[in-house]
Amino acid sequence: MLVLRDFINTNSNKLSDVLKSLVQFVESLKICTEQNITIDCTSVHSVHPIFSVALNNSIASLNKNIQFINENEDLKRISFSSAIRAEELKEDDLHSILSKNNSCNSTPLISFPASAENAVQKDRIVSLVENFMREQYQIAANVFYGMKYVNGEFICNITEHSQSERGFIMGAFNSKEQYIDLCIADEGISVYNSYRNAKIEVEDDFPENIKQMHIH
Amino acid sequence: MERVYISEILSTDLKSRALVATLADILDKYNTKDIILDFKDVYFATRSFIDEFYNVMLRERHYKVENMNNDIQYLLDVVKGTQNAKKTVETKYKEVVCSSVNEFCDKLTELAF
Repeated sequence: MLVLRDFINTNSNKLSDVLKSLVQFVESLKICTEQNITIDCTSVHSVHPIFSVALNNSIASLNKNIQFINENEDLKRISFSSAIRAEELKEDDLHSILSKNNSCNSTPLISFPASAENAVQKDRIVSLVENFMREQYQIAANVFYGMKYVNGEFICNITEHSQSERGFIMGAFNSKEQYIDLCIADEGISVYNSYRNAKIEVEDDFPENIKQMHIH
Repeated sequence: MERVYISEILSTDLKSRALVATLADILDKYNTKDIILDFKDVYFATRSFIDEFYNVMLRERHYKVENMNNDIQYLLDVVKGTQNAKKTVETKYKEVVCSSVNEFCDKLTELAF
């Protein structure tokens, strides 16, 4: 059994600290000799969207039987242990699931089909999530359209470059500091391999530390 | 002259590049090439959509466009202006190879964000 609380650093909002917790947790799952692993979620009330999305994707690739226990209502609301496959729901049902999160600052972890053949379905799902976030977090129009451009670019890149069948989206609003953490991910070949396949170099004026962060 | 309302055929929120192929299939069924693509009620379009739209609907098929809102019109102008921009295609990666998870985590600690 792994206790999730032991890996989560609640004192830091740094993205690199979230990634560190995630990498260490996934490594612990990976090196665990048991085929059946239980993750104890006791005392975990909130999880960074990147942690939720990336853990979900990592677990899918581990080929182990992983069970979550002691998920509190907050974690259940964000579908922490299993992403919602949005295309399997009617639009109204997805909307009601999102609305149940009115009291929560996170959207649930949503998974959507990413292929070009499913473009209409994918676009509807993403629009629904975006509109929910706009309403829920009271996002001003100029910020909302900025967010939509960013989402649009990332999500189109999933379809066009990642070779992934599915995409994921999750957002969380930090009401104290007034910012939104938005995580968009896929299960594909990674940005690094996509660049490599296209023989494109990271531009020279890119900060050195970003250039070096080629995560495999 | 046929007037086709994009918001009715596709959506008011245009995201995927693939939607342009859907639109092309629909327009192929019309008996005329004399078509106005009307963007009334379309409030948003991604760069990917506009890029594909520009290449297929405007550059190849020469359809007319009306009622684009200012933001989408601006994006279209940007896309037009970047069609022939050169891309960097050198292959000088600077990779950092980490031999262990701990080493990778140390690298993460060095990051400012």
